Amino acid sequence: MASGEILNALLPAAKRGVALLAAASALCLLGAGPAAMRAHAADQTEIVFATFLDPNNQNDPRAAAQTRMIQAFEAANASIKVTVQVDSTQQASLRALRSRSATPDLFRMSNWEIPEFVASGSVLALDDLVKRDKVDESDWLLPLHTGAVDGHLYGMPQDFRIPILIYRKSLLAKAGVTPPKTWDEVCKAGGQLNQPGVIGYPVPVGSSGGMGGAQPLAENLFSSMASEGDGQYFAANDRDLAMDKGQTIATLQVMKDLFGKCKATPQTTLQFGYSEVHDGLRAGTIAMATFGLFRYRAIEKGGAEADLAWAPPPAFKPDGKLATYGYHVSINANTAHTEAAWQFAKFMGSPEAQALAAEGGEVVARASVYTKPYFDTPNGQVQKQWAELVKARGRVVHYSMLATAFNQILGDAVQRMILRDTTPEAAYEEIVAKYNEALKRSQ
Amino acid sequence: MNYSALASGPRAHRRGARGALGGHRLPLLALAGAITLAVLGPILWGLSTSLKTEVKAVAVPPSLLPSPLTFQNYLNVFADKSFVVDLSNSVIYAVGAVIVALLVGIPAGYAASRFPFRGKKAVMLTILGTSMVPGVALLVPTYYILDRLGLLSNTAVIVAILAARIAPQTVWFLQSFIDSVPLEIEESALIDGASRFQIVCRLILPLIKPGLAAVATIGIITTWNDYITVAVFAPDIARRTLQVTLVNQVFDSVGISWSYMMAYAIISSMPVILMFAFVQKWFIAGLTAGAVKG
Repeated sequence: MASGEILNALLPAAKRGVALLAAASALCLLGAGPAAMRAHAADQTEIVFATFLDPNNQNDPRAAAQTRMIQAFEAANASIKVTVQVDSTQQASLRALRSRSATPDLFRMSNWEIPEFVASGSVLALDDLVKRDKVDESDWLLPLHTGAVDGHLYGMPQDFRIPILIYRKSLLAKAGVTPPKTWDEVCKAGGQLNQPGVIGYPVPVGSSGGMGGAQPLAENLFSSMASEGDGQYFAANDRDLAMDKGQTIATLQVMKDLFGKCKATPQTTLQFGYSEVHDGLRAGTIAMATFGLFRYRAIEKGGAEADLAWAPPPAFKPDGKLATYGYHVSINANTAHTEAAWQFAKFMGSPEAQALAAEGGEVVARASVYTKPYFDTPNGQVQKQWAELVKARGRVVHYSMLATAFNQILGDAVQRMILRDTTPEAAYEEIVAKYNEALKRSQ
Repeated sequence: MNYSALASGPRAHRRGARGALGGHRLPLLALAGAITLAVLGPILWGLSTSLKTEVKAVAVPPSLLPSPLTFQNYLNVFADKSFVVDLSNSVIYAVGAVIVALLVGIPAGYAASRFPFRGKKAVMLTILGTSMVPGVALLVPTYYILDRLGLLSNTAVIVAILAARIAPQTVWFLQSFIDSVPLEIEESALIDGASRFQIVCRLILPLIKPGLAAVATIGIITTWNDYITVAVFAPDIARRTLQVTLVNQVFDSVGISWSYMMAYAIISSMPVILMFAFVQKWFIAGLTAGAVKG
């Protein structure tokens, strides 16, 4: 074939090249278009709110409640538009704060994340704004400033979480045990419940479903147990360990006994995180567990149904204090829209917005909301009981600015203690030494 | 002479050969079966879970066969408000990145194949070297730059970043495909007065179609399955992909809905599986091109 013929035969290929080029150009315009449109949109101030609640999540009623809260805010503040940015692990927000980014303008953070976020230097203290707008400081389940860092308020409280004992009624009835109130009772009941195919009482040392490290262990068990005596977990500077040595060793001893002497906890739970405990309670392969109250309804709906029940969690003393925490709406100190962001944060902490949040299943932070008719419904009544538990036994403790690193160190030490059969004293020393090393490195 | 032995000789030989092969075949078949099971097992389990109710998905003891069989999870995925947006983003990013990578890779691969120049080896090794920098190491600086430039959640930027990830392999693959095209064809086109651009567009590209299919397929699979780039550089929910939404479900604070998640995973894999089935012939031809020297 002559070369001229080859060219003629292959002519359409050139058109394809041009088409490719056109498609690429269109793509570039596609990317730039919406951003430009947003930038030039009307006179509205757009604020970006980073949250772990995905508005499209149809399984989580809290997500729907959040959407209603945003709609209510936008209806009352026509000049402000709230854009939701989903941040499942809150790591994108932390990254943005550390790089001094102006967005997101607002974000959610829990008590145990506050020190780490505040250490970025990019979280706005709200004290002056609270004072300026005369925000009611008395209408809260726990005092407004309980989660303060260095005496400053860094977020408007949204809700409270406290560990509860979630259990399968049929399994406890079959074993002839009642929900345990103390660790001695857990040891006994857990031993009776633990059998092939059923875990009596898990001690989850894994990380699934969390932000890293042994978060479920720290969040649901260790923080409450180690601080039960004097309320000391970390020091007020949110850096130094402040937990009592004797109390911590007693805590580690309880954990070791659950695996060993009590035969309540099989070693497989060393790998468990939130997801495994959640699924175990749903499937009935876990008889009882100390777990987050916000998971209760999902476990009930996801398989356990009427067989699920809850009780106040075990402690060293039957009415021992429990570490409670909650989520806050906080403002990025680098935002270009401080006033709009504050209006939104203030609204999210208002009784009006909190009433909507309650309908999503949250144990909301505003005390006055609990008089609303919603709390006469079966779901509302359970939330009210949890709120009472928060008031009666809840205690906000200080956390570490290296919370994730600490959780990892804690998990490693507990795993070593169980698997290598070392003493609780040795585990305590390991926790202290490794955490102090981590602190030094962070400086 | 033993005629019967002669007559049966070749058959006996064939039987012997078959017997010997059969002897080797059994362990090979067993190994192949085990590998197939190991690969297909999790996929079948995922498919089975996607066809179960959520309660049955976590029931103990588990069962492989869904009973009752339900397609509700698939319907729920399609009813998901963000599904179409996420799917569109996945398609735009993957197709866009491959187009950009090809637009860059074709001239670069052609130049590397046809033009001798000083430092060519060093340039090609540098291109290859850039693909060896772990993407995670570039996340923070890239995020910082994009944030300062106001380019986070920008479709064109995401496409450019994904294209940059696959561009080095594209250049290298295309160079080797173009190497296999005889130079004489090009020379006769040059004599006919064709320009280099015409030669590339009208001559080279059609001749390396299988290679282009292979490169595009690998590029699409790489970008389609990408999670971290979009998760970090596109925080806006209107810009996320199926993969980001899928991973978000793992972190769902009210637990993982396994049957829904499996349905979502299967649906989000389908476009790539279908595309692969469609271009399989070209893809394999592309990968094996030049494997047999003649």
